[in-house]
Amino acid sequence: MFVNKSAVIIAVLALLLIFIGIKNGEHLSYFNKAVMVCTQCIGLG
Amino acid sequence: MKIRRWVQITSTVSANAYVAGIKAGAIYTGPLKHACVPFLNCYSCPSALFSCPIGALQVTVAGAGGLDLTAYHTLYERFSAVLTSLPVLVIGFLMLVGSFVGRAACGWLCPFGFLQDLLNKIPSPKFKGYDFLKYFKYIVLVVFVFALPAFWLDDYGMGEPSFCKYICPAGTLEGGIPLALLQPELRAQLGKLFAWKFGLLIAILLASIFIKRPFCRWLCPLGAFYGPFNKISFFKIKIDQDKCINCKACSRVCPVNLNVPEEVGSPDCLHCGDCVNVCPTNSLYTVKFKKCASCHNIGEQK
Repeated sequence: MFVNKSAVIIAVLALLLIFIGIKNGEHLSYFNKAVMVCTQCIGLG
Repeated sequence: MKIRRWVQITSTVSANAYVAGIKAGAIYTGPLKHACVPFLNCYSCPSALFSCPIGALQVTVAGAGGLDLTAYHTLYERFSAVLTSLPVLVIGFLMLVGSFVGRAACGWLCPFGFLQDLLNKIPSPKFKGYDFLKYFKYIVLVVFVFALPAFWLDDYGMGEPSFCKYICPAGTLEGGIPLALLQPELRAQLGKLFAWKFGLLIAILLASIFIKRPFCRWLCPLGAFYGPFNKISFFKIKIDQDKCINCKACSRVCPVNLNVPEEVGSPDCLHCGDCVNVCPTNSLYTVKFKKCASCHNIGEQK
């Protein structure tokens, strides 16, 4: 039995991407859209 | 009732717990919308507390001004433009979920998957559906979630969330229909696009009665994203072929109609564990965090 190395590498890479995304303020980018009614989502176009 | 049903109910309710939105006919605008849930849940739903990861992916790609590569002349400039416009936060979040549990969020948490599970309980003739359709969800992911929002720009140089606009039945069910019912002025503006999306939603819901989870298996871009992680995730379902008596009890309960002895753990497996629960010989089992070197891998035969 040994730790699943592939999953560890992917998880570390994922955490790195999350860190970069938060640092770049990416969550603010989609937050601006998510707090408005999305006309595309509801079928207004 | 099995544990998975309770988890699905809890997930559906907790992701859509903004009751005030239903009363007011308006959506939640608080800080929780900064975070995504790991499953499809429209952020235009009046009761949604969090963002949808597929919506966030598209909005980030499209909102970055799209990837109008004609503006970049050298290969380096184009490559940089693509890299700086990628929604790395959401991609990282989904990779993290995938690396831990693979596609389990589809099987355990997704409200739209839960609805399809329930609809399939209605007594009726059941059909398996065409296997090749499972590849269509990867096209949806690449084309509608990344390519069209990135490259199909409007007059202002902005992309649009094409999956949300043309396909997403969860958006119609959770966002479009409730808002149309709650806001008469919005209802008056609905036209052909809503009619298309409403028709698609009805078709998927009707198909769900006769076919197990048709949307998850054939169309869902989130399932397409998570699927490949099934092979490497910490949490896995495996089979010991030496113990398997080929009774097919597992395949009968599989919510996505897999031939479990051959396909458990494939990119289409939801990691729901229903097959593990019904296996009379315990040949199916879960692996968490550790990799079992001595056991048979998926697809290995005696």
